[in-house]
Amino acid sequence: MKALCWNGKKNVKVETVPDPHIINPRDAVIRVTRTAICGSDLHLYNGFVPTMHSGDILGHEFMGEVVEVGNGVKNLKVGDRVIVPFPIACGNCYFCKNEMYSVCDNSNPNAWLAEKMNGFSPAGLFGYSHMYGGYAGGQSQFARVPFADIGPFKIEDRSLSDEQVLFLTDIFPTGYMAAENCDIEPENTVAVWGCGPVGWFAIKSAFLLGAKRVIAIDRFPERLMLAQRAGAEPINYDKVDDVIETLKEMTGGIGPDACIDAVGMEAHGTGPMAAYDKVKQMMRIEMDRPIVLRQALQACRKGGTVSIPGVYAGFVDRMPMGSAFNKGLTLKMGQTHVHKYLPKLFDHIRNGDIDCREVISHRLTLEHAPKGYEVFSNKEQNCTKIVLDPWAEAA
Amino acid sequence: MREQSQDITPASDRWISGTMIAAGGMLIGYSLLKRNRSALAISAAGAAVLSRGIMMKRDPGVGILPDTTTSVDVHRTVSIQRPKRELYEYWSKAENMPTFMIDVQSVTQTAPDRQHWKMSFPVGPSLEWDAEVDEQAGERIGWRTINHPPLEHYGSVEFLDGNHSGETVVHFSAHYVLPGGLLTRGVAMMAGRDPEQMARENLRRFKQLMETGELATTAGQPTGRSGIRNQITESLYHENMGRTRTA
Repeated sequence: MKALCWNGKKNVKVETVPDPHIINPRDAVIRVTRTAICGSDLHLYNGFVPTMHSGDILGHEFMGEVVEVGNGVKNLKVGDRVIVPFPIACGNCYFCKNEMYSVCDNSNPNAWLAEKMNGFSPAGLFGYSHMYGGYAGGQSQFARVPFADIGPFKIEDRSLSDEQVLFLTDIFPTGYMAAENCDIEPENTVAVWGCGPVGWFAIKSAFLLGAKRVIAIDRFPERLMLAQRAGAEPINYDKVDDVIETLKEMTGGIGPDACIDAVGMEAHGTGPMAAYDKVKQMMRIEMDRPIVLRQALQACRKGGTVSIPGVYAGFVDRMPMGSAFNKGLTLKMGQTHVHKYLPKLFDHIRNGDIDCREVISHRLTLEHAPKGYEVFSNKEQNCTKIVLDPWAEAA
Repeated sequence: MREQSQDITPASDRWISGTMIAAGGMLIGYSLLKRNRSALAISAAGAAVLSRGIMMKRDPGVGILPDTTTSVDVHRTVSIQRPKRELYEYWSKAENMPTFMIDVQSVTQTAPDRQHWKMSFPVGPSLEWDAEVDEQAGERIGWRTINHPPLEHYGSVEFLDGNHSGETVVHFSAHYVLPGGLLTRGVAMMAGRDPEQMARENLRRFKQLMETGELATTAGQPTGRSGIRNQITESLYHENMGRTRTA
């Protein structure tokens, strides 16, 4: 089959690799009909996530048709149309039983490595480095899905296109969990840093959960437009002197009730602090650039909540803990417990509360995925989200 | 006593000493070509291997490892979402050991309180030993090697009710005496076979098998790497460690 392989920093290639097959009784093999490039794939592309190796197949947002099931999978049959959550979860451990699927105890075969680096191991993820399991990803024509009796979610309604449901795999639940973590009450104002697809879903979800106002912060006009169309009030941080002061102005001097960092470890910023982080990250003294996180902690109102769906991998410096502590902030974060949200979010899609296709800017064949990574990484061509068809013939 | 457990024949001894001399020489040669910081370490390792090879060639009584030992204590606790009775029953059956213990080939019950263990590694000698087993039904299994095998050890695994219903807390503790001292431990560590790592992985695999019925693995999945390049990556992460077995 054809698959997109990581071959080093800013170097991905479509290669012919062996087809996947059933390895464990609870596996299934999916013929991938649509897959997407995620903003977090860019952390891999740009070489910020350790334990990647040449030949690793990327991709954790994918859906398709079941072509083979192991004898331990009773709830799926060949021909079923499914979306596949990006965290791999066993369904049996303490964490899965308590709906904390993304910290499953049993799905990371390389747990020892994650334990060495972080002191514990989260769930295995598709196509996201050896530290997170080394599983082959879904930017490919077929994919092996472990614990297929727990993860894949059936989409029987053929009137819904792949593009309408594909983002249930990651970014819709991720944006939704980010908003849910804000414990939104009526009259609340939520500020969202990063108006990429996760930020967009966070804005939409904040409104679905009853927020009165959402303020969106980014620097790319097309992304701010997208946020504005979702009902948010935009701030272009390149155009204002001070984001924190601007947010105060907009919220009666109080600050937003909740802040969402939908950017994570590769944040861009302006000023000396941003330069400091960039240099430290390049020198590998600091793993993540927490520019947005610092702003969110400083901007949030007293007693408010900071929710972090953006990915962090290691250590950060100069966190304003004094500010966070003295304001009595609540911090919530983590990889998304995708499985938990699927029935509810599928209903939102079916009821027409949200049209996920709005974030898609590019539709490419798998052959063109390497170009897609480059365009997405450089934010060229007003790129917000790339969907790949692994079976389309390259033009 | 010691001879009993030696399973390296004199013929293979000669082969090993020859290989060690050649390998030691190659390492030193390689380090001379490299001439960087790591070259020093490589040449030191080469010299150690070379000199040991020469000693073995001169005196057939000399083993592959220095005549020192080091002891390792291991303690590890895991919580498993299965009832105590079920876990105890699985662990108490000798034939179940290879389903979750890395490199264990077979365990046979030779008497009510005796087991015979066979273990083999991807490289190096295979090991066999007899162990005396002492069980407190449903609570604790203890063992200790007898007749001084190359890897002497004793230990126990205890099963206690956890805080949540249907949950068991498993305490594992063991004491190993490694032949060859720190050299063995260093090599074992690099191969992911240090007693501490093994205990941790074996317990993890036991938990996986008991909770999910299978062992999470990527061995055999597609990759853009092939041949030796993939084998190196797999070994680096121990991803090739034991293929899947089902409970």
